[in-house]
Amino acid sequence: MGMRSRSTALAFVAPSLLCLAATIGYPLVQAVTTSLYRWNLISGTKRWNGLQNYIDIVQDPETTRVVTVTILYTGLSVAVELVVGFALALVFRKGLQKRLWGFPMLRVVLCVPIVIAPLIWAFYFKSMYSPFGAFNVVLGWFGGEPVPWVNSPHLALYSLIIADAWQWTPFMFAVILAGLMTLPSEVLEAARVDGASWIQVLWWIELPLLRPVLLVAVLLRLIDSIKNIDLVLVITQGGPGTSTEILNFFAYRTSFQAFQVGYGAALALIVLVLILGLVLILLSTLRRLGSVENDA
Amino acid sequence: MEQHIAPPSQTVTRRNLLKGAVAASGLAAIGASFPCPALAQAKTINVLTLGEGIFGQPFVDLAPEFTSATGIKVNAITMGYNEAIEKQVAAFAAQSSEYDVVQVDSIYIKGYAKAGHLQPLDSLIPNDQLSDYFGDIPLTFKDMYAADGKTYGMATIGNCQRFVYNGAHLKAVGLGIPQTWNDLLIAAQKVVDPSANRFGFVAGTERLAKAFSVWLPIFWANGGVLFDDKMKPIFADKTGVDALIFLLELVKTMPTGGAAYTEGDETKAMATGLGTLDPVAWIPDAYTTADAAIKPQLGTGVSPQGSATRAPVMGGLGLTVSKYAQDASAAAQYVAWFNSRDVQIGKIVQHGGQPCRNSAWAANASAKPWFPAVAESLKVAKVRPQIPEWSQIDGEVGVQLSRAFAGEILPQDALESSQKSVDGIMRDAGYY
Repeated sequence: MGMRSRSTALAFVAPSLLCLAATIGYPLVQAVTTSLYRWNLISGTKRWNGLQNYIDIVQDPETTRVVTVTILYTGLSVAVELVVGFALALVFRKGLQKRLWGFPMLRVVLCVPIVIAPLIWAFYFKSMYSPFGAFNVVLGWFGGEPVPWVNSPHLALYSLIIADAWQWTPFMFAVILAGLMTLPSEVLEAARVDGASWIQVLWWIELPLLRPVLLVAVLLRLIDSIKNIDLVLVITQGGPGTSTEILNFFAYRTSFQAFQVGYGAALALIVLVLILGLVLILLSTLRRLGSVENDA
Repeated sequence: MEQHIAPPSQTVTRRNLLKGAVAASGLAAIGASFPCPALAQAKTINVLTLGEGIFGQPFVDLAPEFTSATGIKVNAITMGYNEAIEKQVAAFAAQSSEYDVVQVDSIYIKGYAKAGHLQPLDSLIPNDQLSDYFGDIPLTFKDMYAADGKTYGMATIGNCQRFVYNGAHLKAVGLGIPQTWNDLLIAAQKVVDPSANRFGFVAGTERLAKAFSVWLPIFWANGGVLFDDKMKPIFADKTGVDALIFLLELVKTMPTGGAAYTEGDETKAMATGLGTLDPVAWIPDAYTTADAAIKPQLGTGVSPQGSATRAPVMGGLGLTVSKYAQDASAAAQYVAWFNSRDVQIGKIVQHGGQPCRNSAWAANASAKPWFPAVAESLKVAKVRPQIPEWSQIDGEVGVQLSRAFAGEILPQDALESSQKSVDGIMRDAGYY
């Protein structure tokens, strides 16, 4: 590309770059700067603290607990969504291929939770999980004892995982179903002609072929799940005890309930780095898979 | 034969458009240099208040009356408690002129004043009005809204914890209304009957801001002290641990999930007759939402007596004028109007609020069944330390207490861990 065409190209992208710098660059620089201060928003006390906030985060035993809860919450949510989404996709592929009545309609209905705003979803579940909520009322109809869905430290995290999976399994389902429907039928036919059972076809042919789709879906959900805060914020506020305190909520609580914005900014930047790490993994894997396919 | 007459050309050329725009701007500029008297008088103030129940309803309902009385328009911005606090903290930190009047929780007043975010009202509100006001409120209110000898806010809505109980449940087991915390524990244990769907203690035990305020009245009532004279935390002593052990015994008598009840659960438990004794209720919603069968069973009193005193936790929200207000004088008029004798006596209660003036409590004593008890409670209620670090301390201690409620850690460990965190916060803030 010549110098002239390069500068023309730069001139065209310059407005976008400026917008990006203003909307992402400036807040990011502000966040990094803030994270280097001890800053109490109520009293306005602001003092240079260098990297001490980051050191404190690493040394704080609370951090280990919060990270553990975050890994459990993220890992289990995405795992449930993947397994249930995959199973549903297999069932629906069969139904759609056999043109069974109601399946096209059901496919749409199943995806409705995705279009509901996460905050609204959280309020639905807050009301349903309440000791006086719908789940306990239904249990009561059948003579069951009320269950402390989000009021017991042993249950709360799993209740949040169910709420998360309920909303996002349809996303996995839709992505995987789309992937399944585009698999080359001649390869699957050939395997069946060679006498492969359905489980062998699934394990040895479909899953490897679906790998890029699954990877993208899982990584997108992992990223989304790590930055999720709505369910915890609305339903449990990180409790009971510290049983549902995830990293992002911990950052929120530090910044907007304890009003220690410096420490909170440092925590938020750590979450950002984690997410960026996942994005890099996603991109490099996609690139690798793309080059493998091209080589083939 | 029809005749087609061509209309005169109406094409808008770029030149014409530019001419028009220039002419319009010129006219606007000329108009602006001759201010219209009617428009100049129509001041508007932005008021940030809570939009909920006793704390916010009067401000929403009475804004038109204030406008007709003063000619000042009110742009009322109302929202939930947490959102309102976040908004005001962010606006103050940014020195934004977004709000003229800000409704502030009393625990934040001194912090905001210290940071210079509030305007002293002494120079904005006439002396006679201020004297009339301060001669007519509980003394604690005056201290709560003052700093460095200046007044930074007016209480407006007076509130503190009150004791709500179900008299029918107590009567069913042959007990009267408990007067001491020990009596309350005995009663809570005695009334529990899961087969009758009847439980003992009820409180908002969820972490963050709630858990701490459940333990505090027991701790204070038994002579507990949070900080020494150098502001070093000393609450993890025997009194503190005993108060927490006592509280955990009470929590055992709560309905299922009681160890992490929200304020909504707390209200609902009393309103449905599930719970019997809520000595730390902040709002009257159990009464207002109870069904017809339960409502007559509910009673209200002052928080029980400990070995030293009665000590419900003082709350309340006051009106302040932002340092960055666009019109501080109009904002101060709003604050003064809502705290005036007439409005406090004749309008606040009628529009769902709770007054702060003694005369208003006296005049409205029978307006609501819980009013006499709240008026009595305000006289003995204790104020939480009004330091800028309080919200951080509240959160830290609240989390550890919640862990104790949930059985994650022992009471001693919860308090020692809290005290260590608070010690770090105070040291970091430069208290010692």
